Amino acid sequence: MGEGALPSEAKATIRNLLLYKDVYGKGIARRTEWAFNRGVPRLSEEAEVLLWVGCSGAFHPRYQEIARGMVKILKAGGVRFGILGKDELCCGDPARRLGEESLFVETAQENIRRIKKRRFEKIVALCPHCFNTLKNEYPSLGGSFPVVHATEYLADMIRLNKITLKYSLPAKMALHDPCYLGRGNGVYKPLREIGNAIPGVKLLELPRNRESGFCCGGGGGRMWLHEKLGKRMNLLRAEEVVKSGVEVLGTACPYCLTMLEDGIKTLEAGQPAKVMDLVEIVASSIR
Amino acid sequence: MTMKTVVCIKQICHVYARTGMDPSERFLTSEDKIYMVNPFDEVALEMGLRLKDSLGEGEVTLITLGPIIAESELRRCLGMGADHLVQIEEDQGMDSWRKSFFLARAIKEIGADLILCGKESLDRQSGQVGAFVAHRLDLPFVSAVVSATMNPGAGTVEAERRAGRGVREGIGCSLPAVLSVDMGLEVRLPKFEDKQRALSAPVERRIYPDEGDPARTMVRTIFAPRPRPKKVFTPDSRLEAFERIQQLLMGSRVEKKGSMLTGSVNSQVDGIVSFLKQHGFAGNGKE
Repeated sequence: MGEGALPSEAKATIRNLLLYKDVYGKGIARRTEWAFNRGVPRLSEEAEVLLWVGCSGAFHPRYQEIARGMVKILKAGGVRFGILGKDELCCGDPARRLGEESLFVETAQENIRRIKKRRFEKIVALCPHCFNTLKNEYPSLGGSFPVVHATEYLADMIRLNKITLKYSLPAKMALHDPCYLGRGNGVYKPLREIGNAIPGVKLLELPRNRESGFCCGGGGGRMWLHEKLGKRMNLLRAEEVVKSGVEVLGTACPYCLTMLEDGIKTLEAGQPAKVMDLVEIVASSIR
Repeated sequence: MTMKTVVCIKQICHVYARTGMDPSERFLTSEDKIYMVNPFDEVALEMGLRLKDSLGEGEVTLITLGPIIAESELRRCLGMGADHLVQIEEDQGMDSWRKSFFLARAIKEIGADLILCGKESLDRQSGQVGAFVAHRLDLPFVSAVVSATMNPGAGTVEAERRAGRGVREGIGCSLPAVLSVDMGLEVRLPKFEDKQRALSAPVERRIYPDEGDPARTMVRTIFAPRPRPKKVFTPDSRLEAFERIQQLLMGSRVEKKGSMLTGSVNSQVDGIVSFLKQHGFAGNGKE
């Protein structure tokens, strides 16, 4: 990338990041459309929690549901929270993973400048990629913030009885550990805690889990590249999921959600597992 | 003798959304627009750089007219491989004929063997400036070029142009010539060190006295157009009141009747093929 050599399919992503400051190329003006008329508070000065929505939560139609679900849970738990809204830019993870270092530094510094204007106790990131970038990569650019992932925060809320999970999900559920959450930052326990807390769920483990877990094929910038060699990563993982016979696959990452949904649909199994985000499951359980 | 290429590059204000609330601002906010370089001109630059690469020598000069509004994008274009950036200072709004006066004057001073410009700009879309420049310089002009090969020994250029409806025309003309470039070539990404160098590259400013041809048309004001009037849907008067109200509530969308195909991919394909045959879209049912 430093040489300007990037597969042509990823060039559009970089251009979008450069011009519109998000990977989906929708633009800053459309960043709060998911929250339109839903009473999502903007964090103007001070709040308990800064909800970091991320590009996927703001623009991806499937992941917008999860962002709205998170808002519902935070409201039910009585948390004073806010989003940055139009002041939020892409965290820069796709740029760095695709090798566009200068663009990463640019967006990251702009984000840090905007976050520093607000006072809050912690940042809750919806997406593991944003979480990883904010937690591990922003400190070297001068932005050390207390960051937790949404699943960690939800597990805390459940443990402290801030929310009550009323409605059950009678299903066999397995968990897919997102790389940037599990292998990257060692967050395995909160996912299991949430899974066990949902009434009716029978929690199973996939053959490859936790430290020996498997990638969905979307991380590290692969989301915007084509597979040219070998077998598709998401199909390999989807085969494992279908073989294990679970009804619901819980995960906590927009890329895992997209990749595994695609993979399971492509396999056309008799009883396809439903891929759901843990935030979404909790949101439907407190309704 | 080094070949000199001049690329006319326009900076535009691209309005991608209309999210404002204020009618006096024409429903525009500051986030709704981005400043960028006209994509057609970027492709023209790419073509110039490819010709330079194929010849192994040459000099590519960028000319921009008016105040610099998209500096980072212009610097990125410099980083792609252009050698110089010339800005013609002129603050007044002007029509294509007047623009061509300034551009032709600068090109005459620089002395170019090949002049490239975009087929049209993304904002005005008049597509006139290239032709006017050619007229003023008394040079051959080829529009909507998608690929070009130089023949410096014979002093000619062979251009392939898009003639509409999928027709391509091959045109050879003598140098110097003006080519207006259509979309097609994939624009390269700048190398890291070139990008760094471009950040400090000088901008050569030229001021031309306000003389020469008077404008053919007067520009009184420049403004963003009003949003298109919304069409009010009239429901079919033959329908019952209930259905008419329902149509209005559905946002005046009338859904066509259709049937969803379910089952495996093979059975779905069979279904589509039999539908096409049945309605006479494909085959004649005899095969």
